[in-house]
Amino acid sequence: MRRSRKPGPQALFAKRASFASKFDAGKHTYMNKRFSYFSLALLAFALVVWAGCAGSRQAAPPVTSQAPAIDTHTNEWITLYDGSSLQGWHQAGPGGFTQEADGSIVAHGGMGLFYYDQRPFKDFVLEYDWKAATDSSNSGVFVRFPEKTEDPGYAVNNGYEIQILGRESGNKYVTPYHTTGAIYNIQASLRKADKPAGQWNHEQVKVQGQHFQIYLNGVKVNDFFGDRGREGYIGLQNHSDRDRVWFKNIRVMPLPEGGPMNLAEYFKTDQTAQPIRVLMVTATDGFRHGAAIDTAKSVFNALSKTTELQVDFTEDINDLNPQNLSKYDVLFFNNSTLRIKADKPIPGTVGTWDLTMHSSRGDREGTFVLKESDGSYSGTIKFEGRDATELEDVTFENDHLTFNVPFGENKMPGKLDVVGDSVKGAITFRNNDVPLTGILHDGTKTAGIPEGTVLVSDAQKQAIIDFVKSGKGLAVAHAGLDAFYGWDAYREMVGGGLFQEHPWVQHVNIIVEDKDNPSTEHLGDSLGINDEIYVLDSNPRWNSHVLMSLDNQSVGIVQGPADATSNDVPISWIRKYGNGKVFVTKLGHFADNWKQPDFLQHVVQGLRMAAGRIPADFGGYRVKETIADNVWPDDIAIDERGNVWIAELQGKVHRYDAATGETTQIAQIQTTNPVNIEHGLYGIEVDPEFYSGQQYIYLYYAEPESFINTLSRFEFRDGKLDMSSEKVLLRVPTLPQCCHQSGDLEWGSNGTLMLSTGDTGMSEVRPDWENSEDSLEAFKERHNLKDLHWSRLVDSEKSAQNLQDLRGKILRINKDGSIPKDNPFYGKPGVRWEIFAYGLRNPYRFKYDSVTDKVYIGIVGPDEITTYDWYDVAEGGENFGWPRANGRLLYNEWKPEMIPNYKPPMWGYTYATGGRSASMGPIYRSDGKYAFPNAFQDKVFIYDWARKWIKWASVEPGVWTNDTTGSVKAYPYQVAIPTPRLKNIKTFDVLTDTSPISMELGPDGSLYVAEFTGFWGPAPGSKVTRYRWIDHDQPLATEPTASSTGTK
Amino acid sequence: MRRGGVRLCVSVLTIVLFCEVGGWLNPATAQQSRRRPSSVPNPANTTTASKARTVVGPYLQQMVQLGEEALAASRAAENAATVDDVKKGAAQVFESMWGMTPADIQAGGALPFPGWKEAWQVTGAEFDSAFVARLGSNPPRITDPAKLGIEGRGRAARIGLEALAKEAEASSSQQQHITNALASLQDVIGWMELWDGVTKGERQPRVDLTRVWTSSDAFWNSTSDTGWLWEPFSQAINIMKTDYQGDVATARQHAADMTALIEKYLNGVDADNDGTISPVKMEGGLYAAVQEARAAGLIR
Repeated sequence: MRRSRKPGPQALFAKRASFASKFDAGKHTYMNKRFSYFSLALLAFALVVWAGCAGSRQAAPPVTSQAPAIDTHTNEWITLYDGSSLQGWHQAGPGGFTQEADGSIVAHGGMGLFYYDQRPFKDFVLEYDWKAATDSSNSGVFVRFPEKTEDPGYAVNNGYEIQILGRESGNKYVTPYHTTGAIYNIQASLRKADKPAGQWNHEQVKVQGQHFQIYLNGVKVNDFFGDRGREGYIGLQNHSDRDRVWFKNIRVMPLPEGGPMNLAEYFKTDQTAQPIRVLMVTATDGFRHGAAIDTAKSVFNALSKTTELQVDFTEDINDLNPQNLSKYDVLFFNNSTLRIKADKPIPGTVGTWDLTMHSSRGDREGTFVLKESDGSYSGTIKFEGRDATELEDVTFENDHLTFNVPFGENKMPGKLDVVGDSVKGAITFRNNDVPLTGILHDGTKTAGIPEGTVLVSDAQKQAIIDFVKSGKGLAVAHAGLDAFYGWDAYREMVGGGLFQEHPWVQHVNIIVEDKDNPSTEHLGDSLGINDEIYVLDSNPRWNSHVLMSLDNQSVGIVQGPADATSNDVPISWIRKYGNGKVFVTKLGHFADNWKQPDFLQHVVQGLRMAAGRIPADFGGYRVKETIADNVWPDDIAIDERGNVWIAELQGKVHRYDAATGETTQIAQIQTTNPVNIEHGLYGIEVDPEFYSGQQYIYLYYAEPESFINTLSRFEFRDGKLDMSSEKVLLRVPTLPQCCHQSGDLEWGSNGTLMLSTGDTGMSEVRPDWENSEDSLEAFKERHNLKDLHWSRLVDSEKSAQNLQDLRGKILRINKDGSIPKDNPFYGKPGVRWEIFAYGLRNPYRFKYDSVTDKVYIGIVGPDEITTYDWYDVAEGGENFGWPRANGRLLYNEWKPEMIPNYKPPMWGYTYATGGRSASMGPIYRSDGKYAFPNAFQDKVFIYDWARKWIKWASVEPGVWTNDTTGSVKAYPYQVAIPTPRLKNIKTFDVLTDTSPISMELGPDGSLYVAEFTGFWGPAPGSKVTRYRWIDHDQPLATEPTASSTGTK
Repeated sequence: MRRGGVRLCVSVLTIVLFCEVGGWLNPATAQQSRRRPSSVPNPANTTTASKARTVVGPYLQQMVQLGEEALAASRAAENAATVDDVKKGAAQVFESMWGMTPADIQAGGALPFPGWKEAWQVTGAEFDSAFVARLGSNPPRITDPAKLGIEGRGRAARIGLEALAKEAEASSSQQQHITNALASLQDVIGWMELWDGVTKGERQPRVDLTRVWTSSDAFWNSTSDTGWLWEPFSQAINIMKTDYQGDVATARQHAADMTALIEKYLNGVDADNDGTISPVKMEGGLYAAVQEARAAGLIR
């Protein structure tokens, strides 16, 4: 990188003149200009630093590697530096490299160029190891600079610099074009793959023809086509004394001359293939991705000469007519921002502008949001790859905006004039203005055209609909999703969602969900890319075949929000519309991505799929059906034939018959009235061998009067439960107080029956009084508890932490009531051997996963603002900590090692974000008729009764950390414990009038949900529903249902 | 003095009890007689100090008798010839706890438990009206602590001891012995009491575990702080609910573990490793409770 390289006098003049002509420099004298240039350079640097400071860094994505495709076994290596001799190397410019005792060389001084001057190389594989002293240590490796030189700047301008500049997260002023793996100022790196400072990295560079591929630590970090010299020298950069970077094991293997010279050659196909006629629409109304469009046109124009793609381009909407469309196989809306009118006002938002900051270091894109509330204005400013900064002192009068941007202890004043859908102004730093320009993205103002203006006539719309429905193809890239907001058919064609926001403009990791699809099979597990990622106003996942989706961890979202936010960002998908085939990708914001072979291959294959030239699975759609609406379900169980057994809290038991679609009451068990104390009929299961002669139903309920919770088996005879057949399997004595009975039943390993039991503690444990020392002491004084240990104020020690007591546990018994000998406490003297896991408050719902032999649990926590609900997983013998620990809180200043067998949570959230009832749903594994796509396989479903959402997530290795401040008695030191964590938590659905209270997976892949209304007693609207995935070729519903909803 | 000292101390205590309390406390005698302890007045109705004096001693003595019968049964189970015989021993230990006979000692058999009213020996009047309103008005099935095994008697004795501890005319020495007896008794049976609800203001049964918050890590890491009596009770349930499939050796080992747990609640624990078992929290067992009650003049 050439961060401090000074331009020569002519370059200085040229820069100055250019800047002056643009931004009214005519007022300045020459000296002023000279001062101005220096100041502006300083200003630009400061602004970039500020922009970097504006928020937290993105998290480095977990690298899902692509194996290097470099065959290094066919030719001889030439060692350039063997650890001893630097013979053949030449230093240009100041500084240099010195040898270390370990045989490496380290940069000092600079800026200089240290290169191997014995010979140039044409096609080759270059390998070397490097390490950096710090995350901001700057260096690079130069290839193919054509001449020997004494000018250290020559290599960067005439060859290619493979950049080394630490980790982006540790550097405040580095864009993806300047970070490790980038080709400096030419091609952004695809992903971050460098190791932490101080560790050695291994890098491979393969150059053939003009095709450059860079692999860092086995992961592809760059892949592009160059346009400079075909042959050149290899060198290293010594940047400065601050930038200590070591190199060793430098060697090169010349390759036979060859390889593609450009993308067109790279993508060249059999010319006899039937042409695919594509009409690429790049007309825009609204933000224009000019560079991206121009590059895409250039690339596809070239591809039209070497592939079967025959692409025409149009900026004229009038070309969308039946006669013209009839010439084409695929209609491709590529970055075609066509808002018609910006009719998507965000409540309270005056406007959102796509912003560009014009600094001497180049343009930087961002977003400016202006909001209004009761006549007062506020706003945010955000630049690519950084979090938004809240503006201060915002005024907005007569289309003139003023504001201050906080920068450390200082403020940078800004001003913007709104003219139509554009803004223009500057941010001032040390009396120098850095220009800003922008264009309205959405808001209450029209997007450059009068309200009601029609861009696409009804006839044109119909022509497009007819074109696609007839079996032709539709392709959409990036801003093609920022179009036609008022046109429902277009929305439906692309999957239901259109642009809502783009929170991330940065490096992202894209997870390949379907590795077998023709457009993704070349990518492996993931695609790393620097792009602008859209979030749509509706998720296309539910009616499309999603090919790739955002790895949320790559944008810093390790787990997910506990609210209804989707957190699901599909990136590319295919679907059917009528007989037509639709391919959509959100990528393509930056021009250089259209020259990136992996992305371009994705699009090219997408066009081929849309044209129907290569087969693909175009997926299906989700449908939700109500199967029983005359019940008040508390828990449900599904048998192997899809019949649903339904338990009500007040004792009724029903059976939904999958064959007839009818629901019949089959029992009324005598149990305690649940009003105010949560006792009643808690759980139901059906014997897994029900259809092999053991027609047993298992119920867990509270015996009246005794308040002994009882697990019993009943025989199903003649369409009813025979209540006289009851065989009691287990009794769990409790108290007649509210609440936390839990009572979920699930089948465990080896045919065992598992039961969750609550701590039956009072809901008043951990109330507000623990929020301050004063309130705690006042509470103890008020209740004469001064001598009582604080932790003993909690009832649940007697149950959840007590291994002689069955409450606050996951229990496991054989289905005849006996104790399995593989239970974790079997044989341990004096503790109940039915216990599988303990330390639980209210494990209302749990699930056993037969594949991993693990038990996943949702645990409801106390009603207090800083306490947690949480999810966890058990293999046997774990203590989940309650009441000594809760979610991320370690109460009573306890260290984790003071809680025997402690297992920290997979995920948790507090009351601070609303009421909560964490519940565990199925671990999804199905290849049944109605099975959901592969993306759902092996995922866990979770749901929350209070928040009404159902989510799905993956379970991955992670680290749990404690909350040191949520309680006055919290353990005050940070603890980090490696443990499985829920990650990529995404919303499956959000119920509206009901709450999910039980969830099961059916034998055909259907997901069943007990939807609950009311509280202690039944209320209208309760029902049992079913989600299914229907392939496009299947009928909407194949069995009798009460109602069905879905989008085809 | 370490473990040997503890055993010596316990042995001395046993001898003293034998001499002072009478021959029916002799484990051998109790084992042979297999007679049920006689009934005594319900302390729920006799909580004044004078009435408490009439019940505490007999209850404590009966608890020892039942405990020693359980110990004998458990030792017999250690040497039983069949799994069924081991289970029968476990059933007797189970019965000593709550006075309830398990109807079915086979692995899949359901075991009875006292309902919450029996376990609490209350009519409902002790509780807050809002709490009572949820319970129904039916009285407990069992109102006599003597029909509720060691635990029922222990709870009744605890009520009596608490009343005696508040007696104005008791000497400080007597009060200390009563306090010691309470502490030791609580180690055995655990204890619960009625508290005003914290936020809902309801008077409800709550656990009073130890009231000791400077306890060692070992205490916090224990999982049996609701009373040592619950440990052999749990072990007895485990033995009855395990399908040994004829593996009598394993069943005997589990019975041996049960024996050790019974000895623990009878003898107490030298928790501080000072070579003695003191009649204090976390150390004193049932014998210590009886000894202190006798020293307080409650057992003659």
